[in-house]
Amino acid sequence: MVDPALVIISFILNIISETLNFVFSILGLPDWLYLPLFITAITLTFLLALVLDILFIIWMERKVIGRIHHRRSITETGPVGFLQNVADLIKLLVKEDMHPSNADKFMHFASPVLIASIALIPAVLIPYGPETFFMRMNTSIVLFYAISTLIPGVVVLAGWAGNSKYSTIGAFRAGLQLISYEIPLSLSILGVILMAQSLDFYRVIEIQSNIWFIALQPIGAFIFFIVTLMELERSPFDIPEAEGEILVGWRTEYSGLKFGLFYAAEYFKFFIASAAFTALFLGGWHGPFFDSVIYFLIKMHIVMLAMVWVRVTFFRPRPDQLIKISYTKLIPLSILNLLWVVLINPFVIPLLQ
Amino acid sequence: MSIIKKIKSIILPMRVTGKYMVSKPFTVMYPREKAVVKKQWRGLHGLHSNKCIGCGLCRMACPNDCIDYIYPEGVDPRDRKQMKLRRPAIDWGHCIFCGLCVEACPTGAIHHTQEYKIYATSDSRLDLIRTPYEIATEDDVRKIYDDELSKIRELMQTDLLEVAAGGEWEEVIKKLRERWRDLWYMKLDGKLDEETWDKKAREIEEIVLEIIKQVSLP
Ligand code: SF4
Ligand code: SF4
Repeated sequence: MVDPALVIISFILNIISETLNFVFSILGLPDWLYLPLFITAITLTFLLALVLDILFIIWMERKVIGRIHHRRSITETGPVGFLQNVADLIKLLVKEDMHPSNADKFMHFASPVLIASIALIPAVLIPYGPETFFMRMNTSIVLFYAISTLIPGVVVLAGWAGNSKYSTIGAFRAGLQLISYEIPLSLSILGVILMAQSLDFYRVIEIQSNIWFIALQPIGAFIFFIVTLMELERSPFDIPEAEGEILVGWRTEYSGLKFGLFYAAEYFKFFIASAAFTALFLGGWHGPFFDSVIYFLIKMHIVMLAMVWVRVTFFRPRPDQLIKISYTKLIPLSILNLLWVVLINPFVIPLLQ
Repeated sequence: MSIIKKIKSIILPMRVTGKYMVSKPFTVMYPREKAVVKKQWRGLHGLHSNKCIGCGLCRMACPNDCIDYIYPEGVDPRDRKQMKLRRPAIDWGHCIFCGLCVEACPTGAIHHTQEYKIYATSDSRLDLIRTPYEIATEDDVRKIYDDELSKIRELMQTDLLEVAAGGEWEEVIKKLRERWRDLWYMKLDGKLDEETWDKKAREIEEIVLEIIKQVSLP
């Protein structure tokens, strides 16, 4: 059966290349410009799709939280309130840009840009479909998490550049969160890597064609889910932000477009982390009848829904409780998971091939 | 054992929020949707005029003195036998919708409707005082007043006006009302012809209306 997503994607690519051909024939541009322009056009298209999807995700999150609170949430702007996020975006764009008088001006400007761009890079490492991916490399999982780990560093910088007690406390809490989630995160990914015997996202997804890893190592998936929440700084683990305790933590001094960039980075991270969960544990693009990017997107959005669901349900632990949970529960559990993987690997690997 | 407990402590809250996620929201989009009120909702009052026996219990039950009675035209209130013809007028500006009058009514004449919107069509305090003809449920009794003066003429029989005005004006209106009542009784006794009564009563009513307007809603 033909993958319908592929038809659509090749159609879009055709449109882009036809338009470029037309432009080139009219303006008589040199040939060597073709490739860079083509890549730029594709990147922009991908970004546009990403932004549209993120608008949808924010809308979904607000709606779901509203429903759980027995409210209606956004209803007024556009059909079912969908345009509310666009309105919010415009509001952020036209807001006055301010920075504290004694703050480090350069870092205050640079950190939002840094976070937004770093948060976006891992998106190219994930294969969304059997034919729709940006690049394939042998160590994409390692690179993926190496890049993700940069973000808390920038967060500490951003909090420091805010030059207020709340942002500094928030920044230190972000560091504290980092040391509590890094170890279980690596250990739970190690289970997947051992079972797939590869560091490549593509290979990990390919090998799950018969059975998903969430069925083979449920504890690992559970730990990875929790740790992802910690990494995303989402409730219940939004300790660096902790509204009601330290305002909005390390983001306190940022307004307007800078805040918008932080917000966008948060949702880029949300998008990418749920994509990683889908790739590592939910079998990526595999589904009934045909393998398609559509299945990947559906699974990814279900993971997001689950994260929103968790966000509304549980309350925030204290920072010391977080470390306690991490070191006395998550690390032993992930080691247990690793043992389990080592035990069942000899029986499972022949089945997976 | 404790592991099962911990798993439960994760699953149970998720189940509750999950249930809420698929349930309908409680919010009513009010101006566009009509709010649904319960059967026992104590809304604005209605009156079954033909059930009312003019017993006066609703006035006695009211803790806020916002009920007084109005006699139909041409009926002499001094005649105790005519008492059964009087009907309650209500000042919703003072009412607390406690429902005691409804509870006291022996015939179920005065009752609460499902209506919850209490609004004034003008900035006049008079709008919140409703005569029995305005709250009557029967169509043939219902009356809509052309102007405020004709409504004041009905309400001059009641003490609702002075209570509504309140403060220093209470005494003033009380005195005006006494003068008005003397004229009324004279007219009922046939000592005053229709035209002079109308002219003299109108003078007093205009002053009262002026006072009521002064103490109007902002
Ligand atoms: S509901 Fe209003 S009119 Fe009836 S008794 Fe209570 S205060 Fe008086
Ligand atoms: S409304 Fe009821 S309580 Fe009031 S006078 Fe009429 S019968 Fe009596």
